[in-house]
Amino acid sequence: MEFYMASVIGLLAAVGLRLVCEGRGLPLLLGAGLLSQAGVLLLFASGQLVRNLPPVIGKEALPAADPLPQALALVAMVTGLALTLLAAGLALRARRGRGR
Amino acid sequence: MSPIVLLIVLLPFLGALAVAGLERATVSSGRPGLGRGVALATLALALLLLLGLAPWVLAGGRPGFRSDWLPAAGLALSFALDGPGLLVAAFALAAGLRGLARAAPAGPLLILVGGVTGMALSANILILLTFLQVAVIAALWRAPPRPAEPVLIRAGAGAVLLMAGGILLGRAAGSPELAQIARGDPLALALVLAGLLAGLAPWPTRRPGRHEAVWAAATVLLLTRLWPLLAAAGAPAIGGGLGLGLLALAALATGPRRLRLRPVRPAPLAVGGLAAAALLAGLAAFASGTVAPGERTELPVRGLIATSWLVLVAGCLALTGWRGRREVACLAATLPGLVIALWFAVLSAPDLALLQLTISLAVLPLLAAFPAPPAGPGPGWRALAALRPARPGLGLLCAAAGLGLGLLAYGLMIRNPALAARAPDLFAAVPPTEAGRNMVHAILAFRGLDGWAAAAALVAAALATRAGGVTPRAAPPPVLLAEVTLRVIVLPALMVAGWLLLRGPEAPGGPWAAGLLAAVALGLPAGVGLGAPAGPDPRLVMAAGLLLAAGGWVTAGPVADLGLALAAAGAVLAIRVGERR
Repeated sequence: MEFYMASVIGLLAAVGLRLVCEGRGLPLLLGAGLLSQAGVLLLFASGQLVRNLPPVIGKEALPAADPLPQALALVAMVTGLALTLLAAGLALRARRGRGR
Repeated sequence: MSPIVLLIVLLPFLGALAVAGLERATVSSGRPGLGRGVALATLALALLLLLGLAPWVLAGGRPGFRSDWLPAAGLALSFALDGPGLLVAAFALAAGLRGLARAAPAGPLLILVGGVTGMALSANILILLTFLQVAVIAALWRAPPRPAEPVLIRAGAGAVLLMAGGILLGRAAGSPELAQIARGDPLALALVLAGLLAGLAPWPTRRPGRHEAVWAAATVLLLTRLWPLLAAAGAPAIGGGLGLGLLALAALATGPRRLRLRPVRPAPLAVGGLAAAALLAGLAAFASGTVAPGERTELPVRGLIATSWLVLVAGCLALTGWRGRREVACLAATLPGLVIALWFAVLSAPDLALLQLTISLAVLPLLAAFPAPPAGPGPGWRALAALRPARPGLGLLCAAAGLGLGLLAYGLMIRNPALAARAPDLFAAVPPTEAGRNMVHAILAFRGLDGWAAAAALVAAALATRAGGVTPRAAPPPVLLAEVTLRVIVLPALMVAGWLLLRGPEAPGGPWAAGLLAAVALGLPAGVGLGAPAGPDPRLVMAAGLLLAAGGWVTAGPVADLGLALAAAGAVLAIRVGERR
């Protein structure tokens, strides 16, 4: 599973970066989305991958997934969404400015 | 005591006097270059003197000068040079030299530089603010185009507020010396911050110039000088207030401002640097781990994961080489998000899975609303279609960067010791009765500022793009069945959103997923052309959300969650609905 996760992070980053390099329009938008997704996954993976131990715990302390990387990743996802919205808006305005 | 400090402050003003006299004298003789030469010489001398003092400052010394002026009022002419002051003063003097080299009028420029230098070297808050006034007036003093009245008004208002705040701070401390101001008076701090805000406000629309630079320097100086007070008074609240104020002002300014955009292409050099850094970090993470390779068994992979991995890889590869329709690209870009949501659910991160799912839902209509390119391959699309053959070197660099990041992630997961599950420790730190059982939610509630900042980023993005407005594409007339289905979906979706919001503290869910889901549900009918968008103005929703979330810091609990959900929903609705031209 770890290898699959790492390969996905690398792939998302590479494709996202290449699309961002186009510098405008839909490729920029899609690329920024992929890049931010790679970042979120990297944050998440910096904890360890565990199965069936969600960090929702009962009265007694049980082993659970590390919630800290998850919280970081959650905030990163929201800011990534903000970035996507901004990129979309700017791309559209640039398009309007050129009269399309 | 070091009179050199006083000399540095006085030199630009002496230069300005000399220039004024020389200009009057040389108008008849026809040698206007003399005044400029004198100005250059004084600034260069001041800069040299300042740099001469730099080793002393960097070694921890504070060369200063002090002379009683009005002892009865506690007012002394006192200057001192420290690190931030050195930086700002050197920058101001260098900028002055550059301006003179570019043939700016010498007199006002010298006074401006003198004002900023004096500000940087002041050891007394009242002296500092006086120099600020001098610099502001010099920055606004320009003969032919008179400064816009709003600029004058807000500069004056900022100055008055700052002076009032400075006087109050001085009275509370018993002396206006910056070194002795150690006690924060909330009212005074609020006045100082309000004054800085008034000066910094990006309103009315102007290109940033000297005036803005003066206020930026004043902000840096005052924040470094008053930092202990701000920290004691609760820096998060002040930072939040500052951010909120700037955000509101920026929102006011976004309307009339026109934006000119050019494509920003990262240079191959930048991508290459990024790739090299990523590869180095990846190799370091892989080589430096303490767990021997092969010692840790990886999580077994089930058929579901393997299949979804193939789907994700196919989506990414389709994006790099696809020559077909725009809709296919949007779909291909959505696939990774959906697969990742599934992985989050499998890997014990249900909160992340829910949020990823709702984000994918919220972004897909946005991508679909992207205006269609004109007939034939448009510029944007042609660029995407031409990816495969074009610039293979750049593609290789990007692949290297991806390889580096992948190595980094793999090294972190495989070669580093398992971070002990922190949930129990955190659980002990935050009493369960207050925090709920969902540790991710508890951390976010505990770190309320992070969540609020993320909400503010969303709102800022929505506001910044709003003037352009995403107009939904004209949809085909809805079929009755589709309409009924939609109307039937909206209400249950809203109910699910409310349910997610309420269960956040105890179970997977939370404000972000709830807000985004509500926005998707509310925006869906308008997005496919079923009537006008319903509900209140998204800007109102966003403002109410940010305010509620800010209030939630104080009260904690569900109020903050509701605020965050409203802010997220408003931001997505503002973009999705947009303004029809």
